[in-house]
Amino acid sequence: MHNSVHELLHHSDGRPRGFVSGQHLTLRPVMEADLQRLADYMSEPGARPGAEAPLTLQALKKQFEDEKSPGMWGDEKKTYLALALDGSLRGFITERTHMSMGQHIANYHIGLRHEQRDELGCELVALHLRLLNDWQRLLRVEARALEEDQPKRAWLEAAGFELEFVAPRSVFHLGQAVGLAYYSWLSPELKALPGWSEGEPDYARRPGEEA
Amino acid sequence: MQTNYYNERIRLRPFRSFDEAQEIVFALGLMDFGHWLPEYWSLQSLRGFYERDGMFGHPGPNFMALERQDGAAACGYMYLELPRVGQVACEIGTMLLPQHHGLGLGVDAKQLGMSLLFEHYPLQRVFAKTLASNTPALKSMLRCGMQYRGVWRGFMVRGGRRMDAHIYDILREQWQAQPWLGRVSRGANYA
Repeated sequence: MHNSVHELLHHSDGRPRGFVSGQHLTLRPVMEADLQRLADYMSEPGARPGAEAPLTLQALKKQFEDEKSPGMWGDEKKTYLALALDGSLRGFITERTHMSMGQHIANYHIGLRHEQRDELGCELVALHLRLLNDWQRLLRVEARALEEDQPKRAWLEAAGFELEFVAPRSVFHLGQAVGLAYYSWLSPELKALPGWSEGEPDYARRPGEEA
Repeated sequence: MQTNYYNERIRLRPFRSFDEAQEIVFALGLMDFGHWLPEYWSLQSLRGFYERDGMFGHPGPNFMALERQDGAAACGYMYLELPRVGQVACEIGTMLLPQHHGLGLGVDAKQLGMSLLFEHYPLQRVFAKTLASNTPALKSMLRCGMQYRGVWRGFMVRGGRRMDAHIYDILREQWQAQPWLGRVSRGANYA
């Protein structure tokens, strides 16, 4: 990496610079020099539930150079790195935005062999929510975890995500079809809105239907 | 691969021309029935879908035409997600032109669509979603053997109300046990 870029990405004391930092982690976007490390993390079992096709460095480079999401940072798709205080990689977040529905779908991962993985995972999810809430009028964030991935499910629950349902046999994982747990975080604003069960809005009726 | 499925009321088949796809998919994309987001595709993107493979045959979102057996013209389309390598659950959905609503054709369409998916791919689960307000669609999913799985809260907001989406699904062995399966036929209409 060019020296000046390296300097831009670090504080004077060597800590990584990013969008947001917590006790252990800093979130920042992906640089080209990160791709090999990121490919290794993204290829771990369960790192990307439902997307278990092989991911090579070349495939990741193509994503990095993609015109719609250059630098893995587009309107619809974003990837964040989670770095430790010494600058080493600890995990990542991928985020998809459904503009028409005003919601985000996030995937969180901390490297499987890291110590204090659960502590890092909780911080990772909390930092992401904090960032999203700082940047925009956030309504709903959805996250999915393998049914059997209790650690990741606990990270989500600790950050305020609620389980919506578990869909059986939804993804192929280590030789078998396993369930996928769907979680969501709703903004207080969205939670406060009257839901469907509290009355049928007029526009939902077909022409000619009785109120 | 068999791409024509039918029963006594409806046929599922690839679109025959871009014009046909335009008349159905583009037209439905401009309508808002109040029960879903407008699923608008520009003519340019639809043409790209069509020229690629006739809108059916690649992993990800695909479209097929629905045609009533008592009329030669397409009456709607079916959204079929085809699996990537390793994918074991896929989504289906139906969109019918308004004049064909209320006849239960969505039930037939889903029966054909899930049969196509389960018969050609090693899928374990087929699912569909609709707004909690869309009672006809909810009933149609139950009638074709799907079961309620759960809710996506706040899937969208309309008119100041939070609209939840309900998820329904069917597992492979549940599909195999459906009484309507014997009425599903495969083959092109040579007439």
